[in-house]
Amino acid sequence: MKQVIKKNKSLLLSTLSILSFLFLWELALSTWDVSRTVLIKPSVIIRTCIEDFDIISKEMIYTITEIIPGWIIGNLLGFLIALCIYRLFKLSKVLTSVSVLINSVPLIALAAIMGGIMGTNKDEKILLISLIIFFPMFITTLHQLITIDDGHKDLLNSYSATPNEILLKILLPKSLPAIVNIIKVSIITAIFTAITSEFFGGYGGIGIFILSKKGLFNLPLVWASIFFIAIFGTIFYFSVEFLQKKLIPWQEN
Amino acid sequence: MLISKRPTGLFFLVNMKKQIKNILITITIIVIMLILWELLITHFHIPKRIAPKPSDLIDFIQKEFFTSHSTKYQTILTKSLYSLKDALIGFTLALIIGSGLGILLSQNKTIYSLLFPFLFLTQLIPIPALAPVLAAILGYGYSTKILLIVLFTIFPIIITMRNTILNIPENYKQLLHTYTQKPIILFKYLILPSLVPPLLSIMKIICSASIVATIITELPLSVKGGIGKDIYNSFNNQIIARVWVSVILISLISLIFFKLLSYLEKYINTKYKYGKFKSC
Amino acid sequence: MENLKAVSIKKLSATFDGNGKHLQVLNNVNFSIKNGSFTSIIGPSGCGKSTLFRLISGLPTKDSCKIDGKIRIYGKKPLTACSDKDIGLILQTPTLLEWRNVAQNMKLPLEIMGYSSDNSNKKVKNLLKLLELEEFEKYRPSELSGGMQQKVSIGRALAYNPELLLMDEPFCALDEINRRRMNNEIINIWEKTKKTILFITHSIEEAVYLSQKVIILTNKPSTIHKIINIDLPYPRSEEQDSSKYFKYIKEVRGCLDEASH
Repeated sequence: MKQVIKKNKSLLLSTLSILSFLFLWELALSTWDVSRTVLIKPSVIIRTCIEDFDIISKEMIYTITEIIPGWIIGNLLGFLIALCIYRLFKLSKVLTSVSVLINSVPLIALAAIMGGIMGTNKDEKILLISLIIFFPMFITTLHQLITIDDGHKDLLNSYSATPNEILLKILLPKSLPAIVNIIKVSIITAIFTAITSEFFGGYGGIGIFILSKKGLFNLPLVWASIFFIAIFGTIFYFSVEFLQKKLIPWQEN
Repeated sequence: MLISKRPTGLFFLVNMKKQIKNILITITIIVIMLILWELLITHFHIPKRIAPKPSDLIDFIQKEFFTSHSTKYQTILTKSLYSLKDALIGFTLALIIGSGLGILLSQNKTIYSLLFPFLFLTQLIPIPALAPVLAAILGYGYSTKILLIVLFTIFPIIITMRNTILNIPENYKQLLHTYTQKPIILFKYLILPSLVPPLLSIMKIICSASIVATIITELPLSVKGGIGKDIYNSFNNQIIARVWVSVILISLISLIFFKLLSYLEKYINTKYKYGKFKSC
Repeated sequence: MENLKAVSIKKLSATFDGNGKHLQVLNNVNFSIKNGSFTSIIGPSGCGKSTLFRLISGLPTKDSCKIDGKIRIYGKKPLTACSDKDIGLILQTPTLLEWRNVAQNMKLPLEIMGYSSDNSNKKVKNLLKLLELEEFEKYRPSELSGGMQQKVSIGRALAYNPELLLMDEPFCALDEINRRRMNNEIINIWEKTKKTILFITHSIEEAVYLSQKVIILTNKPSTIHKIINIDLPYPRSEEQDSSKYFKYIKEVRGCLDEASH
C-alpha cells in the first residue's frame, strides 16, 4: 500500500488539493453566507448537475461530437500531409516557416468567416477545429522529420540506407514523443475552439447553452456546465497521457 | 599555413537581395490570387452573404478609412489597436507572473502537485464558460477581461519555465556551488540566463494566444471598444465585408507582433549567444 | 588478396574552400594498413583526425571540402567499400536508438541491409555471446552505463561482419578503470575475430597499449610526422610495467610534442 502511495504521490496530492478546495469552498459559503447569487456552493452545483443531468449532458454530447472528429481529422491530416511533403517535395523548410506564420494568427477569428460561408452547423465546426489543430501538428511533424542527429546520420550513411529506411527506422520512432505530446495538447485546443465557435451561432452545444444561461439567476447551470466540461476534458486528456506512457516507455520526464 | 578570410560586406548584401526577391514573389502571388478570387466569385455568382469579392472589401476599406465619420465613430483600426493594447497588457502580466510562478514551483515538487490541478483547469475551461463566472465575482469590467487573458496564457509559461529550470544539468549547479553558498548567485548566473531562450520562444507562441483571448473575451463581456465585439456584431448583422476586413486586419497585426518577437529572438540570440546546455 | 592492403592512402590532401574561408586540413598524407592489424592514429587536437576519419569511412563531408589523392579500402573507393559492407563504424558516442533494446539495436544494420529475420537473430545471439552481453539482451540504452552502451555499438558494428573497423575515440568519455576494461575487451575481440582495426585516439597510453603501429599526425595542415611500430606481445596488461613499454610511451610522447610545433 505504501508503495502505491509513493508511486502516485503527485497524482494523489493533486486530487487531494482539488477535493480540499471544494470542501473549503463549501465550508466558507456555509459559514459566511455571502450573497448567494454571486458565489454558489459546490453542493448546489452538484445538485444541479444531478437534477439537470439530461439537459446538460445532451448539450455536452453535441459538442463532443464536434470535438472528437475535429481532433482526429486535424491531427491525422497534419501528420500525413507533413509526411507527404517531407517525402515528395523539397519545400519542407519553406513550408515550415509559412505554417509557423499562419499559426501565429488568431485562427479562431476564422470562425466568423467560416460561419458566413458554411453556416453554423456541425460540419463547419468540425472543419474549423480540424483547421486550427492541423497547423501545430503539421509544423511539429515536419520539424521533427527535418532534424536528425549527426551520429545517426553518419551510421545510416555507412549502412547505405535508403531515405525510406531512414524515415521508418529512425525519424518516425524519434518523432513519436513530440507528436504524441502535440496530440495531447491539441485536446485542449479542440475543446476551446469548439465551445468558442459556438458563440458565432450553432444548432446546439454546451457553449450556446452557457451563453443562453449566463443570466445571474441561472448561474448554477453555468457552473454545472463548467463542471461537465472540466470532467470531460480531464478524462480525455489523462487517458491520452496514460496511452502516451504505454506507447512511449522509453521517454523519461 | 592557415589562410582564413573574414566574410566581406558583399556577403550580407547577397542575403538582402534574396530576401527582397522572396518578398516580391510573395506579393506577386498574392495579387494573382486576388484577381482569381474576384473572377471566380463574379463568374459563379456566389451571393454576397457567403463570400465577398476583393472589390467589395476594397469598397469597405475606402468607406471606412477614406471618408470622414462622426467624432464618436471608431474605425476597425482603432478598435484593433485597442484590443492589441489589452492583449499586450495581458501578455506582459502573464509573462511576469508566469515566469515568477514557474521559478517558484520548480523549487518544491509538493507545492507543484498541489497547485497543478488549478493551473490545468485554467487551460481546460474555455473562456466563454469561465467568463460569466468571473464576471459574476468581479463584474463585467476591465479587470475581468485582463484576468481572463492572463489565465488563458499563463499555463504554458509556467510549465516551460519550470521544465527549463528542472532540466539544468547537475554539473552546472555543482560548479556554482563551489563558488558560493548563496542561492541568489545561482539565480543570477545560472537560472536567469538559462531562462532566456525558452522565454523568447514561448513569447512567440503566447503572443497569438493573447490576441485570441482578447477577441474572445470581448464577445461575452460588454466592454466597449474591442474588435472582437465588432466582429461579433457585424457577423450577426451580416455585414460580411466588415467581418472579413476586420479578421484580416487583426491577423496582420498579430503577424507583425509575431515577426517583431522573432526578430527580437534572433537579435538576442546573436548578441548574447545563450545557447543550450550540453550535459556531460 | 593477402597482398591487398586494408587501407591505402596516397598523397591525400583536403582543403575547405568556400564562404571566404580557405583552410588546408590534410597535406600529402601517405600510409597503408595491413589486413588484420591494429593501428592507432594520434595527433594534436584539431589536427584533422575527424576529417581523415570521415574520408576513410566514406561519409559525406562538407561541400566546400576539396580532396586530392587516393584512398583505397581493399582496393575499392570508400563509398564502394561501404556498400560492400567492408567497413564498420564506431563513433565517439554510442548513438544507440533509445526505443530499441540491446538486441534490436544490434539488429539495425542487418535489417537495413536486408538480412533475413532468422539470420539476424542468430548473428545477434552470437555477438551477445562474444561480447558477454547475454544477460543484457532486453535492456534499453538508458538502463546501461556508457561503457556498456559502447560495447553494444561495437556489437552493432560487427553485426554484418565487416573486415575493417574504424573507431573514432570510442572510449574518450569513460573513466580510467572502465577505459582500461574496454581496451582489454577490444583486444579480445580483435584476437577472436581477426578484424583490421583503425583506432583514432588522443591518449598516448591508449595508443601504445592497444596497437601494433602508431601513426602520429602533425598540426594543421596535417601530414604524417612519424610511424612507430610497437613491438610488444599481447596481452599488454602484463607488459605495462616493463621498461620497454615506458620507452615506447616516451617515444610517442616526444614525437607528439614535436608534431605539435
